[in-house]
Amino acid sequence: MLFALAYEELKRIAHRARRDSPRAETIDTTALVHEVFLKIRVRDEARDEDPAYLRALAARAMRQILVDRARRRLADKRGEGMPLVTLDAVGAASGEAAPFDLVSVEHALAELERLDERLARLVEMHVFAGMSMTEVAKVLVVTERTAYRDWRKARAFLIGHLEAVGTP
Amino acid sequence: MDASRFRRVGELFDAVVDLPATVRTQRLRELCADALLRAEVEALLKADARGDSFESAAFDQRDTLAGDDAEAPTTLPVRGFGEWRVVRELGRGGMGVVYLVERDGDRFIQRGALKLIKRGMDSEPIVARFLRERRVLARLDHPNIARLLDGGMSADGRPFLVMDFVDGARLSDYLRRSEPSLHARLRIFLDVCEAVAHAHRQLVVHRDIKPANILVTRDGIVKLLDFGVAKLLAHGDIDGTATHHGPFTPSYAAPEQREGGIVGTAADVYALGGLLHELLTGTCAATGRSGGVAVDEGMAPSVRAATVGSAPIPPRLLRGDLDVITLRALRRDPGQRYASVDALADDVRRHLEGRAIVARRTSKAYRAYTFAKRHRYLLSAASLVIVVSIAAAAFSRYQMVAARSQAQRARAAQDFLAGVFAQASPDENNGRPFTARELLERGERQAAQLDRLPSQVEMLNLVAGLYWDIGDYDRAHAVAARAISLGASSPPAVRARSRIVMARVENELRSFPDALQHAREARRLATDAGDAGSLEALDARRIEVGVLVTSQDYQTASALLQGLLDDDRARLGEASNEVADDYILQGKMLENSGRGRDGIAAISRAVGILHALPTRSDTRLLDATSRLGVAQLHAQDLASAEPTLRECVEIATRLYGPDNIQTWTTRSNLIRVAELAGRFEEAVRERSALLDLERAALRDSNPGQLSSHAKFLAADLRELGRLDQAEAAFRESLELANRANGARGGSDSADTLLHLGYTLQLQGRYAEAEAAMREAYAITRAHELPTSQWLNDNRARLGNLLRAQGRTAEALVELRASAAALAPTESGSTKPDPVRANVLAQLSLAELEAGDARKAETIASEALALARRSFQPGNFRLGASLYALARARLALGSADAALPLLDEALSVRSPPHPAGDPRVLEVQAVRAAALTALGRRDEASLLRQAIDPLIDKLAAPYQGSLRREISGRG
Repeated sequence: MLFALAYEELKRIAHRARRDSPRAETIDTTALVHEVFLKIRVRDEARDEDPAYLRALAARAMRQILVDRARRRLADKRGEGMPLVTLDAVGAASGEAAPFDLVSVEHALAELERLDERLARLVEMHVFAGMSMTEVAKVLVVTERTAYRDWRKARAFLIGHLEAVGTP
Repeated sequence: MDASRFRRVGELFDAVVDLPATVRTQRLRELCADALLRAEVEALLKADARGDSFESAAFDQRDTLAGDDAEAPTTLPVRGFGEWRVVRELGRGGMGVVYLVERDGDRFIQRGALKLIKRGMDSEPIVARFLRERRVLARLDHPNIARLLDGGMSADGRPFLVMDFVDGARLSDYLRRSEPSLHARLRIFLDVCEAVAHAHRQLVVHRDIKPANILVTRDGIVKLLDFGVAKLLAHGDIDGTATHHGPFTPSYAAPEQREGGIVGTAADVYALGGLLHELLTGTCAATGRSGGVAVDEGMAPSVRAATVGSAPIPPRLLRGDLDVITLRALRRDPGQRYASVDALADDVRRHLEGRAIVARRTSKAYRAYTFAKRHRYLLSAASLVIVVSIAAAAFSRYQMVAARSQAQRARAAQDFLAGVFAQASPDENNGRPFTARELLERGERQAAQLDRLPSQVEMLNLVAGLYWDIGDYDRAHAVAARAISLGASSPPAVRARSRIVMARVENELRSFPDALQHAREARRLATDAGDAGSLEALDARRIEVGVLVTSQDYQTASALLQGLLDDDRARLGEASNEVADDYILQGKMLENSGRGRDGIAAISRAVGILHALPTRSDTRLLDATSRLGVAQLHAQDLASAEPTLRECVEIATRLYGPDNIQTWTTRSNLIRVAELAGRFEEAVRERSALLDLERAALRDSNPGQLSSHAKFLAADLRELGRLDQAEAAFRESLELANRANGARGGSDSADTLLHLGYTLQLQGRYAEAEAAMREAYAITRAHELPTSQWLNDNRARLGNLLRAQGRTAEALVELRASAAALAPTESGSTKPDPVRANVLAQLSLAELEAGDARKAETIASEALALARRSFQPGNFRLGASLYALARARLALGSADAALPLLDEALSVRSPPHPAGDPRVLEVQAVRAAALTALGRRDEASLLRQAIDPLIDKLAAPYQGSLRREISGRG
């Protein structure tokens, strides 16, 4: 049902874009679609109704969108840039906080994807799409226990990678 | 590091992560001899320790980035539920929120769980579901069913239910914590069965039985919840059909429920079978998997328990009777299941008592069958978002269609779509991810291979619709055409759908006769289809009206529109997108027929409806609100237009961001308000800022967009008297327009040329001005009808220029012709007409120059009356008629009648024009003459002293003519 709504939005965007600018290089349609999709998805509370494959796809989409946003904000010079979050605990050993943002997480995730695709999917769903472990387990068709264990593994990998890369 | 090494690291990690630190290192050494490998694992373990702070930081970031600023979080309501007080929130579901509430009872405080529909979700079907639940619960009184205590409407008009607050754990949690014996589990199951049987006796089907809907209290009492999806089987219910409405959980739902077939008590039997399976094995019947080992769906509980690692009940206890009972409840064919919940419960009881069960007596073998289809997805990491959207859209479209069609067709469609996307592996596409278009092409090809014709045409309809949706009209046209040619023997509703897509495309491509033909054909077919085609019939009619309105056949359109509005309202409700669309069509028609006020009323209604819809579409709302704002602008209702257009800017910015054409357009419209109100300083500031923004974002692309905005800016500069800057901006606009059109002479250029010409005229550069205006005129004459406002405005301005040059005879030719062409068709018309007001003013001046003051005065009076009807008081555009009438009267010797007009002309023109602007000075000059004529020499003298130095600064032609004015000649 919510996808139907998202779809309505997308249709109209595509239409308006065409009508206003037949030579449509000026409209970043993909970005538009991202933005609308994001808005709908965040409000989406009826997720249980979607079949598993759609939810997985949606998580992938969320990842792309959020990373895109994170990139833009990093590059943004107009002062709307988001402050980088610092992890006090992470730098405990070295004595200084190592800041990170979703863009660095994305780099680490890309590396993880190379090594273990299923773990990467899990991270997509849990972190980027905000799905609960129960939901994730359902989509991946594993027990919740397995899902939690895998999440710990993935999480540890990401943290390790963030530290290795350092400040972006 | 490669994948296999990583896997090994992972395995080691899993093996030791839960061990205490002291033991860990040693165990690791035992398991792995490779020191390097151990180091990797150690690193992971160290990182794991910092997992929580990472997690919270990452989620914070995610939430901020994904932040939805549109809606504030719903706050805890503290009153408005009758005597119930809100204690805290218990949870949120798809439909709304649940609060823990209290009220004072006779001897103690009674607690309840209050279920409230979420704000924004109180659409008719959801409210209906809610109210249904209330009716259902009111009929049910059973110790194992959460009782309905109360219900009503909250203070802000939303319906709520108060149920027994069950202080208990979800069944799944309870099972995990307490690990009850087999006997205990069966007793639990029997309790649930009794509850469901009771409901069935009241003719209520639950339709959403699953562990999540079952709570177990501290005392071990089982309570069944959430009859929200329940369906009353008795006659006289709101839903006439027995197909499923509303959501259900696919993994527990019966096949007939998932496929949109008839749902009866047998569906509950199925769900109970699933529940029993889960109670016995600890895994969900449909999706159960364990430890990465694939397990066949539909296996008997004993087999499942054998495969799963940590089964709660040993398989040997499940083998035999319990297997048979469970599988009989889970039969795909409803007719083969237990006939009733009582029958199922009886067999379970028999087993508990050691008696032979009934189910065994049937000798039919059962097959393992799939509960749910698995879908593989093979899209690569770089796949486009639009793929998701298309997939989701197509899927949900089919869910919608499926509800009204046969189960078989729906299943085929779902399989088809799953097939299209499951096979979309980038490997097949040379490693590139698929674009939406490519996927649709695949869909087309696969549709061509379907052997059952009706489905094939349906698929083509779907694909055509999807092409339309992404704006690929040529493709949509082609696919729709094929659907039509192949669909000769399809059912009428299907054929209607093909033509509906076709009609939409043709409307968009402006082939109106074809669009009409297809729309009407679609309507005919949809009517033939009767009930099955009722929505298509409405769609077809709406397209028909839309085409008529776009092609300006208002008479035919309005005849059809009222009927359509009534029918849409009856079928879909006033609060629907379709009715809103109808009102917008109506508004378009009324506006273009000159009934602006009525048009505004219609569009306002549409906006009101769109605001109130629960699933609000922001883009639709923006569309409608924009139309409203522009209509209000045209009606010069600036007080209403400003807030409306400001809202448009907000919506557009929120929806599209600041760097988007849609947003810029809304900002431009808002600036029009300032321009019409005469606030040119503000307008210039805003327009410059907007133009800079656009220039930065567009660079060299889309010069057309920049051209029109540059033109608006130029006009503003001109009104402020900054003529050099205005000239530069007009020239830039021209340059851009020519770049956009590829060659000189587009109609965009004509308008710019005309206004450039007028600017040059104000600068006294008459020859250049004439050249520009004549060029504009030539272009306009090629495109416009002789009675067009555009054309005659052009002509009149040219005439005015000729008059300024002293070429009175030529001027009169042009001006008289324009005035005649713009004359209203009905005499005594009171319609505002800003262009005509101006033309008459200029004609009056020309007649005056030609020597006929009386005629000039008559014309100027008419001009002023019309101007007052066309412009707001204080608008600088009143100046032309005021000036013309004043001069005529002065010439006729009534200086006393002229002076007040001149005073008014001065006040409307300055500001915005500066004191040294020719448009202001010409008024001042005549004022001086009038004062002199009235004998007020001192005032006249003072005025002359004030304006002389300013006149000196003007261009040559003006100096001459103005000095003549002052001296009373001309």
